[in-house]
Amino acid sequence: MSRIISLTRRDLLSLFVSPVAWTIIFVFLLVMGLTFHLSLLGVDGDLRQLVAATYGGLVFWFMMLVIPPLVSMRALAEERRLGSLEMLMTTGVSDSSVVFSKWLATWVFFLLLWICLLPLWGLLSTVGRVDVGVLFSAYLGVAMVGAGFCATGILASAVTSHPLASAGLATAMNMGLFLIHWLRFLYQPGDLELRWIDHFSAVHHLGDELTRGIFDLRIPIWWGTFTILMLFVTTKVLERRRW
Amino acid sequence: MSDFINQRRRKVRVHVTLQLLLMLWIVWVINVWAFHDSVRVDWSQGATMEVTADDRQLLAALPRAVDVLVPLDLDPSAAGRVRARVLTQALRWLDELSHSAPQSLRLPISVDVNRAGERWEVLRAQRGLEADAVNRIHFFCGDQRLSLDVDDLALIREPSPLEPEQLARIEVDRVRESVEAALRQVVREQLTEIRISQGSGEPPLRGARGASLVTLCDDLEARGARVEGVDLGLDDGLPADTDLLIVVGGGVGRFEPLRASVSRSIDRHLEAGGGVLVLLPSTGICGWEETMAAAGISVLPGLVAEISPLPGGVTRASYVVTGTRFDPFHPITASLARQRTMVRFTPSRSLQVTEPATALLATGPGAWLEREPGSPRRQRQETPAPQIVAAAAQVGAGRMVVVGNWNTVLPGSWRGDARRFLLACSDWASGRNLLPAGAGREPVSHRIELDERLRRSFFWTSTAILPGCALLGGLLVAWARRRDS
Repeated sequence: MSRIISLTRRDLLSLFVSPVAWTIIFVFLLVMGLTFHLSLLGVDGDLRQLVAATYGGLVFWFMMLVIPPLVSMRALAEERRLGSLEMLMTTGVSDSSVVFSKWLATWVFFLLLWICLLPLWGLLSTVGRVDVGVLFSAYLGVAMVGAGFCATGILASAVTSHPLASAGLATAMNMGLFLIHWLRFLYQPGDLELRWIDHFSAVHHLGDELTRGIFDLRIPIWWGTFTILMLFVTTKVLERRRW
Repeated sequence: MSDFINQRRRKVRVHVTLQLLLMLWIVWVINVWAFHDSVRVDWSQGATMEVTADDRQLLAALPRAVDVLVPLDLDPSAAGRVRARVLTQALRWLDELSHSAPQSLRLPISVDVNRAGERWEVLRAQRGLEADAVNRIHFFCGDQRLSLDVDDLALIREPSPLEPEQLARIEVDRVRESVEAALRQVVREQLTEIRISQGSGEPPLRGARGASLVTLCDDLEARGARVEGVDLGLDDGLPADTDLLIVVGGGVGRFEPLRASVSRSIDRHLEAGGGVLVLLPSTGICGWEETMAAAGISVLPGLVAEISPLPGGVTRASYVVTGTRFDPFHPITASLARQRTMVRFTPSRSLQVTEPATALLATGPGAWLEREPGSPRRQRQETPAPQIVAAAAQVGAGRMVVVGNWNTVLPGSWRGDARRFLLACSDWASGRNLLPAGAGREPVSHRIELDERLRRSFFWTSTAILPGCALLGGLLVAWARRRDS
């Protein structure tokens, strides 16, 4: 456990000393801040609707699809390209620990980005009543969906040694997960397939449920198992070099 | 040696493939379990979307699957947006219920009639809906159909000529209660049988919209009733399967007292637990005086007049009467009493009630009784306010409601609070309470006033201060790195 913590700390520190991370934070806050402001005007000051408008709009999904691959693209690809991955493995750290710590560092950075938006809610709470339950469930949704998207980013980073190729691959995989939602238009209400599509759809989880304050146990179970599956596959991809 | 290594590689590949398949299988099993046995919680303030044990019991008790269709054609005005919000909330509640019991209540289908016109036409033909049956929630169970209007789902206050600056807003949210009542009603095997008395001088049930009872009939049918006319002047009595008899006007002054055979059949109808809703004519007798007197309700001669405010702060005495005082304990008016409801009559008769009848609705303090209607003018000797304009009585097992005027059921006046009040009267009198008494809650507002100062400070915080902090952090890190190197 202590190895995972020290590896995560090392990865986080390496993220925060790179100019790429600060550029991502700056652009993210600028774009999301502007979206937040426009959404507030769009919902005419209704703070409950503002949660759904901010954490369910097009800009939000663009950020959700693009940021995790950008943050995770260097996680394993860069280590492999520089040859430092082999050195890391010789220290006796298991493949799964390396994969998990890389994912954890990416996920923590991703969460920090979204946490940076909380001061805006703090400002709004001084003039109105913010529905804390709805905001909490929306953030829980961002964390769960983000965990899955970061895991696909780590997998893509393990598959290729080029960071940009890794980012492209991860974005494509995340886009696939995102587009599942639109399969629902092929089915009629009441169809079993439709319910399964809703079970896997990130758009449904965030847009129809969590940003409205509805928490369904299916959501953490799906995103939790998906994340574990992706990390498991990543570990197997790393182990491949031994066989 | 090479063969040995190749053999080991093959074995490892098989093992890894098996591990991946096993992992996929575990993920699948866990998700199948979660798919069938999930827990849903509403974390929002007020938990308005929390499905309670009672709701689950109701859904489990539905004998057949219920389909829901919501055609939307909303205007972009402020009032239209509020109505859209009510319908959206109802759709979300139906979604929640459907998640609990997808086999009993199918996911609601909402269709924008402007954007998906062809789909709407197909669905309309399938379900036999009218072209103007939009902005309603239609429930279908077998051949049964029941529709809820936005006014059934919430009490909405809209700007009026007297309060033009007032914003459209939801005063009472009764989405849950109305949907629950609709689900209970739509699965009933039998329709509520309603007969509307067709005396002389009454408008026809169907026909040209302006001078008929077509909107009243449509509304009653949409609420799960079968509506037919009955001519008490010609027919021998009421059909035995009648649940509610609505008397509209009763002949407008030319109606003869009921024949003995008809009186007997109405007495039998009331004894058997049936209901009668009498909407009085503006003048003269309605032929029901004896039956009403037996229930403790009598009609005073003359009309109620009232001093009404007009735009611009002036007032005028007229026969436009507004009923504002509701009996807070009667099932019909218990929920209306808490909601600043106002029912307008043009004009209204004045009622007098004795036991066992109770006054349902009375006017405010500015009303009086003009015994000889002409130009209304308040004089000292005239009967003081409040004037009773609606009353109800339990007659044996049956129920009787008398309302001061029938004009309200004409298409031009059949809307808003008056429609809600009269539908509540017909529900209670028929013994099928579609709108439960005492229902609804005030929605919690999360709206903030977006004044210029707040807009400006929020804009600069969101687009300059927060990103600026990130920029500053990045510059500090770059400076520290350069210093260390």
